[in-house]
Amino acid sequence: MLSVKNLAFSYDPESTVVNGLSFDLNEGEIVSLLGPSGCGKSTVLRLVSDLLKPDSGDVHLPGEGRVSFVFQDHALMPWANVSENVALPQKLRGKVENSVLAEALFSVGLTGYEQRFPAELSGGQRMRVSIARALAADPSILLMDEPFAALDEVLRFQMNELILNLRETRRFAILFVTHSLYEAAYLSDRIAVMGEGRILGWVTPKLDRTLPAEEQRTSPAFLGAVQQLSELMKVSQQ
Amino acid sequence: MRQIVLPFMAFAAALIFWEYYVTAFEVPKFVLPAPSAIWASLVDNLPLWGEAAWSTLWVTLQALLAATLSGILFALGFSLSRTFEATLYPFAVVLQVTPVIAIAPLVLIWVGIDNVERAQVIIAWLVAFFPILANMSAGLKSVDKNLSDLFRLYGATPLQRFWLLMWPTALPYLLASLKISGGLALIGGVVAEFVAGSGTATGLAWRIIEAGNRLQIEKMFAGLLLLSALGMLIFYGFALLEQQLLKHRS
Repeated sequence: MLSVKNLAFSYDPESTVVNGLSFDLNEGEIVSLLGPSGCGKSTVLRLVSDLLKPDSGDVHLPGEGRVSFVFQDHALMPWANVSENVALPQKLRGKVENSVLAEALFSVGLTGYEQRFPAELSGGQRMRVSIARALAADPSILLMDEPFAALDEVLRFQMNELILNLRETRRFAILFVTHSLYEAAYLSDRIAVMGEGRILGWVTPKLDRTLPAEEQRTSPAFLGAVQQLSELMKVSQQ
Repeated sequence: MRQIVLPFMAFAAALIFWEYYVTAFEVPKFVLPAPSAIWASLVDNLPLWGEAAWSTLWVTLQALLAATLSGILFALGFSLSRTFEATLYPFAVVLQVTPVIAIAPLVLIWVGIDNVERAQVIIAWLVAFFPILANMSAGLKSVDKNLSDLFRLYGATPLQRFWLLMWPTALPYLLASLKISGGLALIGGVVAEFVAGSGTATGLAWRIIEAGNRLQIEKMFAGLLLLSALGMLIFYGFALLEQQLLKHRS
């Protein structure tokens, strides 16, 4: 679905942020980019979404591929209510379909909140609105830049479940940036550990999704993945 | 409630003391008239004061409208072109830092000989323009970067970007500057009337000069009172507008 080959990018000639990065993202797959701050994770998302142009290399997205973005700070419009915020992608594209908006809000559990304003919502609810807005753009790929980093642990777990459910029902692929190896190990099908603008190694958790969340989080597969990730993170931080 | 009651009580107490002091110590009327005398001169000449207040307010509003439109337009130009900003911003600063009282006579000579109101509006515009330009410029530049990226990602046209992103982002800055510029426009209008002098202007400032020339100190105070009231009306009018337009944001 998404194919990234030998991607390189630098903001200034002195330092390279992304340096020869290659990976694929398949339909319905969740891939996480994990690494310390400043390793180029967020830049990769901006390169994939065409917000930045690479110095060299290729981002190949099939013609029908639609990209949506979710940011850590929600990036909601404080002057617009929930409904208007969620409608933004459709409004900018010239066609607002109320049924799509209603479905997006239903998917994130915010039916009935249409007329509320961001200032009247909790941090978790704002993040849900931000996700609903991304859904309203009908994406085939969802790019998420440390979306839950500012939320407390309980909310973070709830959001993780929400993301897994959405992936099941909508079958979009997710490219997820995080610096939490527990979150990466729980959410992802595959995890790329990054360091100095490159992928240092891959980890594939293979969790049994039929188990309840709590059991998945204590399963040998999960703990093994966390172990592998922490070893790779040590390398990336050297 | 306290915000209204406390200043009101302080004002009332000051008035009572003032009235008592002037009466008890027999202060001459041409030095300090009693509040009751000021009130009487206000009520006795109500149509005249109404006309003068309207004249001053009308000048202020015209200048403020011109300052708002030109401030927004220039700020938009600044946000679109660094070159435009670098070229014109120093001139805007010159307008701001040069005392209006020193420019007023020139403006009156250039455009005010046959139409003093036009000169008043221009002088009031000169002082009201800069805060709007500076605030609006800052507002247009304070667009949320991630939100801006989303607009790009979802293919926003330049017009959509302006109406749906830049304008609402800058609105609180504009409203804050209107509270400042409203008062400044009033000051500008008054300065212009003072400089224009006798027989030409018809606003409150002129009535104050006229009363001063005749040593009608209570009329001077009445004019001052009305000027303050106009300033408060403009300030709180914009504060109310701000509260209404931004009530969902905090």
